[in-house]
Amino acid sequence: MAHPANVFSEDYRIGFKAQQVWSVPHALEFFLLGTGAGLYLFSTWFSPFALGQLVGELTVIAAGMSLMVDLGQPKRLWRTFANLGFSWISRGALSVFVFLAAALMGTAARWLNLFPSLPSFPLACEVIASLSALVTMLYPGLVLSSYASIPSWNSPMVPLLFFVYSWTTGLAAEWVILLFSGMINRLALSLESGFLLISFTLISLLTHLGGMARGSVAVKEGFRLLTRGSLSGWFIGGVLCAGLLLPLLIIGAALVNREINGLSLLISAILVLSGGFFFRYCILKAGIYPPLF
Amino acid sequence: MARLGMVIDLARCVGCDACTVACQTENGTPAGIQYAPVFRKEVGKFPQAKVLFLPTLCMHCADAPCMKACPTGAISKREQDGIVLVDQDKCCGSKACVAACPYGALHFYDGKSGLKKFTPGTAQKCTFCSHRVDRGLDPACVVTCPTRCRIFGDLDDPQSEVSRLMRERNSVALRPDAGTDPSVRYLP
Repeated sequence: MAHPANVFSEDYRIGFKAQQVWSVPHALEFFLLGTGAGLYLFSTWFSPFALGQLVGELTVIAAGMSLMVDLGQPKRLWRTFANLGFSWISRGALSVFVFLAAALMGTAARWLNLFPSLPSFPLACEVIASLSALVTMLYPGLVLSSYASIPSWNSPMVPLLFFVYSWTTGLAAEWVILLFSGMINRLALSLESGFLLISFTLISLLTHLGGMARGSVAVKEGFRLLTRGSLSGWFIGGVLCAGLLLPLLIIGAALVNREINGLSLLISAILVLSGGFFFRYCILKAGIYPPLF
Repeated sequence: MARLGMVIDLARCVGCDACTVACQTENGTPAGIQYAPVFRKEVGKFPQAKVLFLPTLCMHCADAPCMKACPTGAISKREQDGIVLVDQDKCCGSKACVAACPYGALHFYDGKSGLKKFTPGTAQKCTFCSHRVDRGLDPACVVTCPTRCRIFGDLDDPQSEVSRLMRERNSVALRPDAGTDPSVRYLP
């Protein structure tokens, strides 16, 4: 009779432990936060249009709702501003609050001409909203990188990746809105710039992966999960291939042929958006605690 | 001001789980939540195989990552003895502390057990039996251990037994890479 390989329950075995508490709701929240803030910035500074701003703001509100659903005590959401000195979640909550207040006021003031006697009011709101949008795009990565308990999160590349991905998915969201509102001629960035942004995202992600492959044992375990383990389908298939390489191929082909049709752009945008969600999900699930002893 | 802490002598632990059960009995923790689990590791191969036991609990870190991660400020350290506690009336259930703890010492109580003592949707953790400490008693896991492998005392007092053992037996901390300066040390 074969000797049992595991005589103890996995729960009580000293070894690698994957973090379990943050999963789909947090991935969704981080995705919606970054995408909404990125969309707002594109719709405010690169190709101003009210619908883009509004959808960006609603997306960030949806992110907040996603977080509330996951909170154990949603009625105590207001308390999340209480630890601004240390907690990046507190700082992020404040940035989201300031963003929503300023962005909604700015959008209403500019497009509904609410305060004609204060011509610079919409601009002031947009500047404040944009600064807080930048923090909103960055802070989920800063939350993760502040956790020394999980070495694969505890890297300066993580905030950078979340920041870059926010721009990329924000741009893809803008493409979708422009396509559906029949304003494709108002692309915030040229297709060449979009191609470069997705390429930069891919390079940043590969750089992070390279760092993980050379990291500590727990980081390497996270790398194994992403590339050969249970997350490899989502990561290689969803994030790398479908989320970045395929859109690059579609847009690259359009650039070579000097024309792109709406359907190709829509497919690229949806692929980038879904890849952006899977990226957040995979990074969260690849958070591994090293063995205690 | 004292800094209460614990030294655990791994050479004495026989993995009987008495500390785990005593803790559950003392604190009435919900099903599935253990403040003081004993972990195991198989070492070597038959016939030289053996099992190492690692009793754990909240490390009541001097630089507690759960305190920094908590967005509501619900986690605080008692000034008089350095015990780290969660205020259930302030916790919003973000689980940030659960993810931030390198030792897996924080637990999220979903309320399914229906225990009124614990607020559903909040974080729970070992309190070093602060209710006993306030009465001059040692934590339940310490008094229950049949091999006396857990020693409790003031880490800041050089004359205390815990300080002496840490000095003489070259104590080690778990996850030193996390930089938490834990108040629970292990004697190899």
